[in-house]
Amino acid sequence: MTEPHPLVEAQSLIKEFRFGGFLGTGSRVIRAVDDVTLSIARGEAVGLVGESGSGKTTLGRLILRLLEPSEGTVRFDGHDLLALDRRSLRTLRRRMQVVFQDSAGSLNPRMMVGAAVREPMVVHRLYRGRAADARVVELFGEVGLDASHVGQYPHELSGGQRQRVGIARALSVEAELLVLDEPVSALDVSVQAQVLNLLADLRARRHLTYLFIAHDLAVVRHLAERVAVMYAGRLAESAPTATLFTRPLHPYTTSLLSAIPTPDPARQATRIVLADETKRATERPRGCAFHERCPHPRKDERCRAEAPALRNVEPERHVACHYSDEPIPVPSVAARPTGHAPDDPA
Amino acid sequence: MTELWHRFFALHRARVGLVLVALLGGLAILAPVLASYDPSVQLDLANRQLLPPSIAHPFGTDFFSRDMVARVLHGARISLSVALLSVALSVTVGAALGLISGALGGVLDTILMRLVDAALAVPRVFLLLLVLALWHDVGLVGLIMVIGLTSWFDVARIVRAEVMSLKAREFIVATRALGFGMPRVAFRHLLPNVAAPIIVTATLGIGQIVLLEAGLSYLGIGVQPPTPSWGTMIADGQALLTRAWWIATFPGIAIVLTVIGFSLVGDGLRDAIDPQTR
Amino acid sequence: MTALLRVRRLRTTFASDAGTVRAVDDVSFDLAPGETLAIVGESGCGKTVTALSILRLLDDSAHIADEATVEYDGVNLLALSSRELRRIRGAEIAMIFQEPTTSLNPVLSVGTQVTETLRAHRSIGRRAARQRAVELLNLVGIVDAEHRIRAYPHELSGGLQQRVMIAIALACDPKILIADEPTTALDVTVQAQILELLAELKHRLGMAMILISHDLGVVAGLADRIAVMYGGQIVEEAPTSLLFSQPSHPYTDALLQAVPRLDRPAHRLTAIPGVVPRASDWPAGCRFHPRCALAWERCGSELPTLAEESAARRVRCWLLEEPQRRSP
Repeated sequence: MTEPHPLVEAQSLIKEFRFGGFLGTGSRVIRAVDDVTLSIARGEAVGLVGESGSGKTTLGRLILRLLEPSEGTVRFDGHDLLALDRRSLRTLRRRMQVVFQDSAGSLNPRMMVGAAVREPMVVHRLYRGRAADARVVELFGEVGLDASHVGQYPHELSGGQRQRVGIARALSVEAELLVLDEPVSALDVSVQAQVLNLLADLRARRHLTYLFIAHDLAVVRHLAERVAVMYAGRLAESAPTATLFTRPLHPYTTSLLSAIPTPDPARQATRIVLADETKRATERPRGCAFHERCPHPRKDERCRAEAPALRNVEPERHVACHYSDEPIPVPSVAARPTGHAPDDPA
Repeated sequence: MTELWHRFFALHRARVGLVLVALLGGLAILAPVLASYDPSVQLDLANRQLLPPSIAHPFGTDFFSRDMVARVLHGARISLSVALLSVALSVTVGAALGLISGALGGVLDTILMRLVDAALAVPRVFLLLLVLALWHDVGLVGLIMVIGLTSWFDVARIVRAEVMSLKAREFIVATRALGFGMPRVAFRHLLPNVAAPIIVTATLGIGQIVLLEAGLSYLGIGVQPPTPSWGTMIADGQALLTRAWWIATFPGIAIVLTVIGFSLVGDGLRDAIDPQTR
Repeated sequence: MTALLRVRRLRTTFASDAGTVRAVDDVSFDLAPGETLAIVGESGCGKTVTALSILRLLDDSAHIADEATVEYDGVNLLALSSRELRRIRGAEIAMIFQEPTTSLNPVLSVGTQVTETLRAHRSIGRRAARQRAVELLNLVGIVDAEHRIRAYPHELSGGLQQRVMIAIALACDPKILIADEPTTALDVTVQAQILELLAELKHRLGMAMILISHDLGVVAGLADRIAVMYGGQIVEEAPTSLLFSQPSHPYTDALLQAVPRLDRPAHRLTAIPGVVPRASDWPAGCRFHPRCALAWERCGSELPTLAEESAARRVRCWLLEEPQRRSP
C-alpha cells in the first residue's frame, strides 16, 4: 500500500444482489460486498479469507469485473476497469486471470485439455499453429503435467491434474494477476501441497501477483504476504501475514485462528467456540455484523448500534473493531505440546 | 461419446426402438425396390378394386385399385422425410434462437422469450390450421416450412434454459475472464454442451411430427393426393372401414410403430445422457 | 477388552464399466465400547464404503465378499435378514452424513424428523416422543428447542442442521455412532462447534463412535485410535497420540508433513508426489509404493500384510521387516 502505483486498487466496492419479488416489489437485497477497499501491489500475494457467504468470491469477481459493482471503482495498473469500452476491457482481461476451486467445473467437459490451454493464446493472437502447440506443451511442463495429457478430456484427469490445467490456461495469456478462488480446497491433502508449492514456484519465477481467496487460514499462510479477513461482506482486518497470525486484533480473526483444527492431539482444548450464526445474510444486524457471535469481553451497546469503521491502527494494518486496542489473546497458536516426541521421528 | 453409446445399448427399450426406426427407415429408403407396383397407378378399376389382403397384394388394394403395400411404403418416404426435414428446420431455428437468447441475455432475451411464451399459448394444431387454411395448396416444401417454423418454440426454451445454467458454470465464467468473444463462447463452448438435450428433443420430435403430419393430411390440409401419405390413406380408408378395413389399418399401424420407435430411441438417449433422470 | 464391533476381512467391490472396483479390500478392525475410532484417508481410499458396508447401506451394484463378517454384539450383521438389520440400524448403530442439507427431508419439520426415528423403533406415544425430541435438541445444544422443533430444515443454518442430524442419530440411544465427514461441509467456526459437541456427547453418553474424515486435524482431538486407509486398505492403525507423534507408515508420515498447519513455521510444504490411485486399478504390490520415498523393489511386487508392530500398533509396510531401510 505504500507503493505509489498498485497493480490492483479496489475503492469502496459495493455489490448488492436483489432476488425474489415481482416487478421490483417485495424483493430482498443482499449486500454481498459492503464498502470494501483493497489494493494489491505488483508482485504481492494477498490472502482473502472468510467463511461461506462472507463475500470473498464476489469481491474476487468484482476485481476481475466478471461482476458489475453496484458502487465503487476498480483500477488495474492504473486503468479504471469500469470506464473501459468492451475492446479495451478484453485486452486488459488477458493480464488478469482466475483459477477456480472446482477444477472439473472450470474446464469445458467436451474439450481436450490441450485445446483449452491453446485456445486463449490463439484468441489473443499470442501464438498460432505449430508455435501454439509447442507453447501448450511448454506450459504443461511448467505446471508439472506431462505432454501426453494434452489430448485428454477433463474427466480423464485427477483433480490435481485438472487444477494444473486451469493454472496453465491462466498462464497461457501471460497473465500478471491471478485471482485464485479456493484453488486447493477441493483437493486431497497429499495433492494440495503439490499445488500450493507449484503456485509458490510460479509466482517466484514469473513475478506474478496473487489474490488468494480461501476459507482456510492455514493454507493462506503458506502463500500470502498479507491477509485480509472478510466477515459479512466487509473487511474485518488486514495485516501482514506473520503479524496477523501471531497478534490478531479482530475477535473474529482470533476465533477463526483458534477454530482451525491442528493435527496434534495435545493442542485441542483451546478453541474459542462461537455462538451459532442465527441471522441470514438479508437480515444482518445493525451495528457490528459480528457482535452477536463476538467473544470479546468488552462487547457493549456501541457494538450493537454502530458499525466499526476499518481504521488504520498500525502501519500496514487495518482493523474494524471498536476495541481493537484490547485484542483478545489467541489461545494456542504459540503453544507447544508437552510430553510428546518431536514431530518427525525419522 | 462411446460411453454414451454403451449406456444407450445397455437399455433394452432403446435397442427395440432403434431396430424399429432402422427398419422403418430402411423400408422407406428401399420403397421403390420393395414395392412391386407404382403407388399411384390405378391397376384395374374393374377387377382389382378394394381387394382384401392376399399373396398378390399383402395389404390389399384401395378404392382406386392401387396396391396398399406400395402406398404404405411410399407413404413412409413422404411421412418420414416431412418429419425429418421439419425437425431439422425447427431444431436449427430453435437452437440458434435459444442459444442467442441465453448467451446474450438482456432485453433481446426478454423479448424473444415473451414471444415464445405467446406462441406456446396458442395450440399448435390451431396455429397450423390457420396458416394452412389461409395459404392453400402449399406443396410438400411449404408443408415442411410451416410445420418446422411452428415447432421450434420448445427447442428454443430448452436450449435457453440449458445455456442459462451453463453460464453459471465456472468454465463459462472462465471464457469471459479470458476475454473470448460472444460467438466463440456460444459456438465453441455452449453449443457442444447443449447438443445432448437438442438431440433428445429432436428424436422425440420426429415421432410427434409424423403424427402431426398424419393428422393434417387426414384433415385434407397436409400432403395432397395423389402423393401417398399415411394420413391421407387413413382419411381415404375411414369411410370404407366396414367394407375394407385394411386401407386405414396398415397405415395406422405404420404410424404407431414410427411414433413408438422414435419415442423409445429418444427416451433411451435421454437416459443414456443423464442416468439420473430415472 | 471385548469388542463391541468386530469387522473382519471386509471386501466390498463394485461392478462398473471400467471393470471391478475394489473399493474396500481386506479391512479388519475392532471397536471397543465407548471408544472413538477414526478412519482417515483421502478420496477413494475406501473409508466411506467401509462405513456403509457395516450397515449394508450400499446399492445393488456393490458386493460384499462372502467371507467378510461384521460382528456387532456377537451377531454377524452381514448375515442378517433385512428385517432384522432394520432393528439394528438407527437404534443400535446410527449414522450421520457429510451434507446435513441433503440428509434432512426439506418438507418435514425438524420435530417430525426427530420423533420419526423414535416411533419407528420404540412404541412411544406422540406426546412422549415430542417430549423426547425436545430433550434431544437440548442435548445437542439447540437453544429454544420447544420453538425450533417446528422449524423446517431450510430455516436453519448448516451448523444447526448438523445438530439436528446428530439429535436424530441419538434418538434411540445408539451404542455406536458412525459419523461420515460430519464437519466437512461446514465453515471452520461452525466445525469447531460441532467437534466440541461430539466430544461432549462422547463423554456424556459413553457411546462408541466411528469418525470418518479426510482431515487429520479434525480427528486429532476426538479419536482414541486412528486407522489410516490408503487404496482400500488400512495401512496403519495406532492410538491417536502415538500415530501423531511417531507415525510409522511412510504414508501417514507424508500426510502429516503435507498438511498446512498453524503450529509450524510456514516453510515449503512437503508434498507427496503423484496422484491418488483409482479404485479400478490399484498398483501392484504395496498400493502406496509409486508415491513412497522409501520404496524399493519388493514394494512394487509384494503386497505387505497388516502386521503388528507393537501391541498398540498395526502397520502394512515392508519396513517392519527391513527397518534398516528407514533413512536415518
